[in-house]
Amino acid sequence: MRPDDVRELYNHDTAQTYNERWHGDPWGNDTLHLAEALGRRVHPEVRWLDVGCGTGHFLSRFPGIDRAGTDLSPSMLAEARAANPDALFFEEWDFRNDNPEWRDGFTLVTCTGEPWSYVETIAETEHFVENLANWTAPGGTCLLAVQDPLDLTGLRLPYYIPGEPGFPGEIILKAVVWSMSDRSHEHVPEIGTKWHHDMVWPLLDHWVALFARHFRTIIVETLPHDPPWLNTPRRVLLAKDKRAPGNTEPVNIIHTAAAPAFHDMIEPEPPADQEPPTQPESSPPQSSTPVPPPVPDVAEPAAFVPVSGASGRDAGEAAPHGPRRLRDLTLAQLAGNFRPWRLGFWRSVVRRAKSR
Amino acid sequence: MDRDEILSIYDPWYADTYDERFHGGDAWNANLAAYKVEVVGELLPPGGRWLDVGCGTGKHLSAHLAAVREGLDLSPSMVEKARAANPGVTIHEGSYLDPRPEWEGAWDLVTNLWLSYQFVDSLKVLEQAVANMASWVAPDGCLFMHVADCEDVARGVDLPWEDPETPVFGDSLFVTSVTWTWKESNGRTHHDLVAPQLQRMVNIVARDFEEVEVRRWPAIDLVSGRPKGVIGRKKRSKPLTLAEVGNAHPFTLVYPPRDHPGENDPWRPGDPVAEEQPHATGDASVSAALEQGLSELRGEIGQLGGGIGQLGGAVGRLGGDLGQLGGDLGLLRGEVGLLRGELSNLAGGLLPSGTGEQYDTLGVVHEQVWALRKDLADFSNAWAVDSSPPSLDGVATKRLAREILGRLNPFSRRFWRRVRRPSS
Repeated sequence: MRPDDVRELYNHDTAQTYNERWHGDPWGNDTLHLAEALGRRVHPEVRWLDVGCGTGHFLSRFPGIDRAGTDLSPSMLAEARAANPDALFFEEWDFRNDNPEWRDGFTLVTCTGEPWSYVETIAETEHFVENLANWTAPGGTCLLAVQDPLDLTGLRLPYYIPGEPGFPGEIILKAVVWSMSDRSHEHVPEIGTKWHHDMVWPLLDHWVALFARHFRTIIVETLPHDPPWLNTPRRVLLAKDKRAPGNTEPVNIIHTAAAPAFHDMIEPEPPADQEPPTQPESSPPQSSTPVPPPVPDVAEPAAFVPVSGASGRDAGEAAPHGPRRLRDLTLAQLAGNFRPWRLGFWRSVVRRAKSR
Repeated sequence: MDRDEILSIYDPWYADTYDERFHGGDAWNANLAAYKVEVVGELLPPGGRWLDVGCGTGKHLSAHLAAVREGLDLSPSMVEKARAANPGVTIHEGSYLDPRPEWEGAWDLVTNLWLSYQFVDSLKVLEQAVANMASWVAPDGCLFMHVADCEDVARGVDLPWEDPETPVFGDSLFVTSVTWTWKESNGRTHHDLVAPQLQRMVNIVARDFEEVEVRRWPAIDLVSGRPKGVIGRKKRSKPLTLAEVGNAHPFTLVYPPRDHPGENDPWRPGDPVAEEQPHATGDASVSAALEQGLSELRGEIGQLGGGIGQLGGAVGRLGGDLGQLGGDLGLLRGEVGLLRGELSNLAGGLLPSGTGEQYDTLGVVHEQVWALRKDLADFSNAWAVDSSPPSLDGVATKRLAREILGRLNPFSRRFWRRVRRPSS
């Protein structure tokens, strides 16, 4: 889509209701899982640029961090500024264009919410990836939320196709282009059905191939998707080890899965000095879930060790939203976490029963 | 792809070797070219004016000598070849995106015969190109384009046009095109070709034409698929916008006649007469179509015995397709004919050919039932109070089953017999 079309689509009305619609879904934990995936990479030393930040929802979850946002829509940026008063800057910028001021400027460059689909051609997608790489500092991380067409719709498309009759050689199926209709404003006669026309949706393999031009390590992390009967799997693509110019070393591609989100329901261990003196002797030791130490993302392999029960922050650093306790969860989140077929569910029930 | 990229592919070497690679002895290409020329003859009035856009080496233009023929191509090398192959025919050099006011309404037939419409950056540019070509068509003329979509690029992957089950924004998702790159074995790479889905292409052509027909090629064998073309007839006095055309403009689906010399598919779908393409995308029609296809398949599996020997040769071409066949019912949509071929080949591979031996499915089922009964007997024997050896006669099995069911059934006395009353 052309920039003006995108601005029209994400106008003032859309910006007003955006957070409620996409981050307030009572049944979707996607926002939560994505925020956790981000939280494993956001640490106090980070300098973070969120490309296509929209209303700045994810930025606003990490106050006190050096962070900045860029988006195409001024209405969305106004929301972002209001939500992030202490951010470095918010700038209206088309990610198809390079910004020399941002070269190597950020240790974490992220893009969530699939704004990359609002381009005209797959060549523009390539420019977008090139720009993300340019803006990532050497040693920095680039994080992109992606969904394969298969994840979203169940359309299984092959990426590499050996030649066909009539097309000898080989075929690479890079992207599927689709239009989506949006009836959320149908009751407003002057808006009616909105169309997101011809969104370019690269295959996951093509994303990996694009990032491999600029980075030497690609990690595709599948986020937990729950409740599984309502949601489709979402993935984040992490690109690290930015290539120096002319570097053609082979790429290292890792597919991994983030920990299941069940730990949202487990209360964190109370500090040692406040801990009740003893547990009953009779309790078997294996029934208490040990919380693994938090793994900071600075060390390279830590990123693809499945982290459970930890947000990845330093141990001394308080989480910005405070400890997550059961009573803080909404009813909907609780319902989303009611998964009695998981061992962890019963573990936590036992834990909670014993701690009473 | 921009102009320079296209010209770097279609250089003099490529033009010189083009005909031997794409108009050589290959049966698929020969069938493709022959039917194109046939359709052109069908659409062209006697002595009519025919413009071939993207004419390449002018192979197609060298037919229908009675017509007034002209060509248009971007590549100077290809234009040179076309001029040499068609003396006396004017071949223009230029792009289908260039405005040519002198051609407005001047041609009885405008054709685009080898997918050159896909050398565009986006669907918007493609719409411009089709609109441009349509503007050259005379008011009673027609437009004929050979098209390819995901089904042709990734053989056997049939993307639906509308997917109402993925309501990302609360409503339907329409697959409009796929972007593909073709790396030829000689190193030439056609980057980022835009292959619109058939329905999208129909919608685009329907902006300028009231009637749209989709023509399938004859099938040279059971596995190569049928290429397709889009024909626009009855030019509109004023082009519509895509919004006015709607999401799914109706089109007529036409197969070549059953006795066409190129037709080599005994189980061809469709009738010799044109059939209306159903457009309802509700679950009912899809499942009804699946049901029908499945029942046809069931009927034909029985007929396979005699024809198996003939089909043996095609087994090798199936390769890995059989793996996809497994659980993917999506493949069944529309391509029942292809699946029939694959199934028959599968049977051909399983059976020793020529023996005429029937594959007794019932026998396998009987074995399974027998094994199940045996398992059931063993299981119930372990539970049974008396330790009599398991016998498989009907009475004993019924008794054992009653024993088991009785123990599992809370409404029976056997169930409660074992429940210990709490002792005070």
